[in-house]
Amino acid sequence: MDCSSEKAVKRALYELAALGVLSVTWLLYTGKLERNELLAGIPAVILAALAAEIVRGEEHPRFLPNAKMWLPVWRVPAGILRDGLLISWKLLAAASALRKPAGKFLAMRFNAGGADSRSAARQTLAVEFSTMPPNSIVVGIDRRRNLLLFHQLVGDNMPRTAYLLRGNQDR
Amino acid sequence: MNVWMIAATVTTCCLIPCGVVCMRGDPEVRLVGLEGAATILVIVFVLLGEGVHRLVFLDLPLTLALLAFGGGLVFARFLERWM
Amino acid sequence: MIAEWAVRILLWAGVVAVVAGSLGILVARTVFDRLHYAGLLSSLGAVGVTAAVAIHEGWTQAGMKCALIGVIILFTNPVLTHATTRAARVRQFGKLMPGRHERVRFADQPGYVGGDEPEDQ
Repeated sequence: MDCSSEKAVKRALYELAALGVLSVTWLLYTGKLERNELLAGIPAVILAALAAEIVRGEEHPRFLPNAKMWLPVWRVPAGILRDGLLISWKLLAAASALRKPAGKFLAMRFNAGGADSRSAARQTLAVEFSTMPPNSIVVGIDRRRNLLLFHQLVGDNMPRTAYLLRGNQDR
Repeated sequence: MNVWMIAATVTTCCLIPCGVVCMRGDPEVRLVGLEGAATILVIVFVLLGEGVHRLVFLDLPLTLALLAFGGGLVFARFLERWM
Repeated sequence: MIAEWAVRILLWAGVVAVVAGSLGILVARTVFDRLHYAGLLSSLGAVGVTAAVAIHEGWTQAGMKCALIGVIILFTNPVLTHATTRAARVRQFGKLMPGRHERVRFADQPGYVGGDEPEDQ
């Protein structure tokens, strides 16, 4: 099979997968198999699958995490609870002292990697799961200097997920 | 009046601080107030739907959650690039 | 019995998080501090309330819709917070990363980034 027909087969498979996922989502959303629902749902699913494939087909960094990148995620729920209590306590303490809560910008070493899909996935997961707990917000990742800039309200610690996803520091 | 309606009432009152923030300060500060208000509204609609036992009302917070995300992103990009 | 208690705890934890978040948005000093409290609204507030309703409704369409709402808010709000923080930083500091006129401390090692470093190309 030559290169272009391989690409066409791949696109067709992605399209079928998108159609399947969107159909299941529609059925979960409506919970019915009535004629009117299907008349509205089938064109919507086809349009959405086409749009998803058009966007996916553009030349932009793909997102392709490996299994190891998802491992730090189990810490996130406890982090959300801990940080929620922490910043609520900070608010109470600041209110009783008639002072406003104040955060600061901090940096940490983060191996940004290249423009490949694995590096893009690592950066995306680091940003997403480090910003989920409310005490820290990832501002950006500097590829040139290999650092991650974040804003933290309470304390001076690195976001745990970003630390675990920071990559090889030998660069 | 059930526990869901009491929770909805308390949560609705939390729109007032967000509204105050939306009316004062720099555009990015107002955007934060808007985003906070959108999240609170989603919660209020969920609680109201449960409180009046009309669960078809849950379509509204689902749509609002998605559109508020899109709208907030549009504002943030606009503020970053063009204002 | 356990489910009832779980519903009560999640509901009122969510409501308290919403109250704290909205007050934090009002009183915080800078836009970046306010964004932390907006994150509290979604990560604890919205997720707690939607989880309470989802457990109360059980494996019904309404329960699944509530769970979906909670998941959507949980995953989209960090993206929104990140985008808003970037926009606020670019507007206030002129650039995203620390440059010559700003020193930022490292959290994982001694020293600073920015300050004496040459400007970006």
